[in-house]
Amino acid sequence: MMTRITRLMAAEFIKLFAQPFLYISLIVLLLLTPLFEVAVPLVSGQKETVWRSFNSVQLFAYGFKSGLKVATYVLLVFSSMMFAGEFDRGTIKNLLTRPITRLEFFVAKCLTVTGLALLLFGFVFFVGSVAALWRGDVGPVWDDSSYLIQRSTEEILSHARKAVFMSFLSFLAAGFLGILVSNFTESSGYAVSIGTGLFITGELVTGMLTDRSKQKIFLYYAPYALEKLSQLGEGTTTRWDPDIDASHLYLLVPLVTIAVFLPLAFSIFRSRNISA
Amino acid sequence: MVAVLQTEGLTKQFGSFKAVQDLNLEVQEGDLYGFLGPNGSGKTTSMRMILRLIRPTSGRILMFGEEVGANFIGIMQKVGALVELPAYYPYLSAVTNLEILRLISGGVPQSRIPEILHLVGLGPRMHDRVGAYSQGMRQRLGIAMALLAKPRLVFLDEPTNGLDPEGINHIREVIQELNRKDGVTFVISSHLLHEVELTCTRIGMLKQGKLIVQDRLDTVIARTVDGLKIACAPRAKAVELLRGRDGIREVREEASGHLRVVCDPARFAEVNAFLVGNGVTVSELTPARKTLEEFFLSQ
Repeated sequence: MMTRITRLMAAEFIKLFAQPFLYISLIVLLLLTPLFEVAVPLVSGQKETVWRSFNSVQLFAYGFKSGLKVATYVLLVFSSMMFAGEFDRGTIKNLLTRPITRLEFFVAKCLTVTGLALLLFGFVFFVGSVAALWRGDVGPVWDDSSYLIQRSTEEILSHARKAVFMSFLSFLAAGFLGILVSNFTESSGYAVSIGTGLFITGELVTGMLTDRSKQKIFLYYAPYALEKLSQLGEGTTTRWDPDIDASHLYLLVPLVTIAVFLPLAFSIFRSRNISA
Repeated sequence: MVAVLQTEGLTKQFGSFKAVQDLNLEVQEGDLYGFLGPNGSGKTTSMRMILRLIRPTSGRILMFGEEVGANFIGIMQKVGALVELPAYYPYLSAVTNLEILRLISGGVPQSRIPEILHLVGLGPRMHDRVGAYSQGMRQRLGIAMALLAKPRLVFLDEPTNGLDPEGINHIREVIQELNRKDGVTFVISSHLLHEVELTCTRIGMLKQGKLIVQDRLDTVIARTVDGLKIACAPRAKAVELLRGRDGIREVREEASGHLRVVCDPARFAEVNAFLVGNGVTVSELTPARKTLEEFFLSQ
């Protein structure tokens, strides 16, 4: 079974890397991520002085947050097309009349989305880090008014690690939302529209909720972690939300979401008559 | 002979509409099985059920003597299929499209890809994007996909769709060659009865979801003989003699000058003797048969 899943994944990655949209997306991410590192301080009126330059972690947080938002949409588009695209083209019947089971096919698709999520996440991380290191200072966070070290280099870097870690599962869950949506329809166009529509609506709704309620939605965690990292880098906050930290909500909520999405998506896919 | 495909009471119902009813197919090893029927008769639905793309409402499917559900992987390693229109990734070349299927099929050497593409006549264009292919070339690619893993049993749904006469002839030769040399069994679904007649050795006819005929093609053809074609003189006298005679169902004069006499084949000799005995000169007497289309419509 594992061999067949590995072979299916190899086939999936051949298809993925042959799509021009992937390369266009990577170019967009390559341009946008550093751009946000320049634009956010400008828009928010922050200036460098002789005594204080921008901290690399602070800039990284600006770029990574925005780059990850764009990458989330890219991931959603690809994952929404994962199944719907095969139905759309009719290639699903070519694949399912080979010696593989529907479960193996489904698992391979999910692993491919996970692989793509890692690729996009890693790419944005890399581009964001390089741009931040080039433009900012790797060092402690200073308190401008009293010229004291507010946060040591080790401390701010550990916050950065935590924020990056916290944002991944939330990002991945968006990919699995795409997989679920992809099984609702046989049209990749509809799937992408529904997927992105649901995501945007989810973000709007999350923005209107109370803090307690927001914490129950997977979409909340990546922006939260990177916003908090920006504030830690700017020196405007000193701590993470203790409720989220104490109960590891940033892990639990996306994991529970994925655990709900995947069986539901598989049950739809498994029971489906292939008339494409 | 071993049955490589058997269905027992296979039925598919969509709401109150029965698309396929109580289908009992039997395909023997080495058969070139023509699965005939007009559009909407249930051929593709039957194929989809056999290949587990859609769930039957009831019935059993056995391939190579095993229930398909019990050993799906093992069975599908020996099966190839082209269901309805060929499907492909238009932004990839034919080679890469087949590479994807090669990876999924497992155990197929890479050298098989150019080999099969040359066999179906796509060799010179195998590195071109499939999106730029003509309909006939896409159909050839679909057939290559079905044959890629050297299957023992191949399902081809309307394989000559979109092919020009030369292409149809070529694909027919490929099918017959694979059947003759390698013993590959083919189930070819088509609404083109003439095409099936030229390719197949056994046929099954489907009408409104029901299997109405299943037999060797030559046996079915023998059943299509329904009378005589006679050249004789004087023709008017022959018509007068034959009309109203016991066992003669119809006598009509054809534009070619022949008489078309509809009767049981057992009476052919008797008709000849009767005409000659009554002073009619018979210069030509041949069994006349319905076309498969006429035969199908008469069922």
